[in-house]
Amino acid sequence: MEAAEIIAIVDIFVSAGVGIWIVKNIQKKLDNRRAIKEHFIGEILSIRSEYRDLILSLKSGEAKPLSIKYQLQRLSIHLNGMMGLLSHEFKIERSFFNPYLIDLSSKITDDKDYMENYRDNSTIRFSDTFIYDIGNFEAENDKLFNDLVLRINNSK
Amino acid sequence: MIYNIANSYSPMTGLRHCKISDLSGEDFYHKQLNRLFKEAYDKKEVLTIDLDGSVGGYAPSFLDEAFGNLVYDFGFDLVKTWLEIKSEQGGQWLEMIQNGTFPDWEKRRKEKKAPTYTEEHPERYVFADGKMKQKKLP
Repeated sequence: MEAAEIIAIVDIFVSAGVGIWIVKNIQKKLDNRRAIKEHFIGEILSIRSEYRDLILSLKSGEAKPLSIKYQLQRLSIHLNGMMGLLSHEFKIERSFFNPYLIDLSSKITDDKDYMENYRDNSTIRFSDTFIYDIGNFEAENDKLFNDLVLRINNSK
Repeated sequence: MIYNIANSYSPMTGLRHCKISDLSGEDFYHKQLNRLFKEAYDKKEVLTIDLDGSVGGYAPSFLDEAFGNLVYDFGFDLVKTWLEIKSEQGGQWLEMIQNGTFPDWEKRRKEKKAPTYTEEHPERYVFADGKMKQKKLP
């Protein structure tokens, strides 16, 4: 075998090796990216589920003002922390949920029944009007969580 | 000047008015924020209010009443110069105060729609006619 042929064969192997390495590396990166996206999507769905539970507890007539306030704070810290990471990782605005967080807290804590029961931390039986309004609010804002999932999915 | 509400006022805060809850926005303004802002203005130092570290977070009405009264008594121009609000945990409150409370209460100040006082408070500082004054309620 001539030297030129040997070089050509080596070249073929090297090219193939580099190609395989590149494909594997890209695939690994894509897999990592997919895993990161799936992690965040899971977190978002979990937070949405906690908000749903909170709203369900308001409807149940068994919630107390301070416990509601604690839950709102806990979820808000969770959501804000996650949005900080999402803005860094996927360039999604950190303030994405701000109007939702402000409106939900205002709707609850400005409600007449909430205010009347706040000082004694008594169980609140919210009015039918409130239950109706908060149900509408939930339905209207549920799409925010879906929008966020889509944006994460569509990001590079 | 840096002031953390949870450490220096109370870890737990209430709702808008003294009549409906303890540790309300009305109470915080009259017991703390009014005087702190006057001190910061006198020293020509920015007053930084740190919202983090509270137990149970904030009701929007607490923040609106406290920072709204501040704008009502001192005017938005002075407040934006000498006040900074920070929060790592509750970015939504910064947005609410900047875009809702400040413009709403500046409008209210111009229209002379006085805040609601549900309890007796000591004299407070106000900025009027280009200078600081002490004023009795209302």
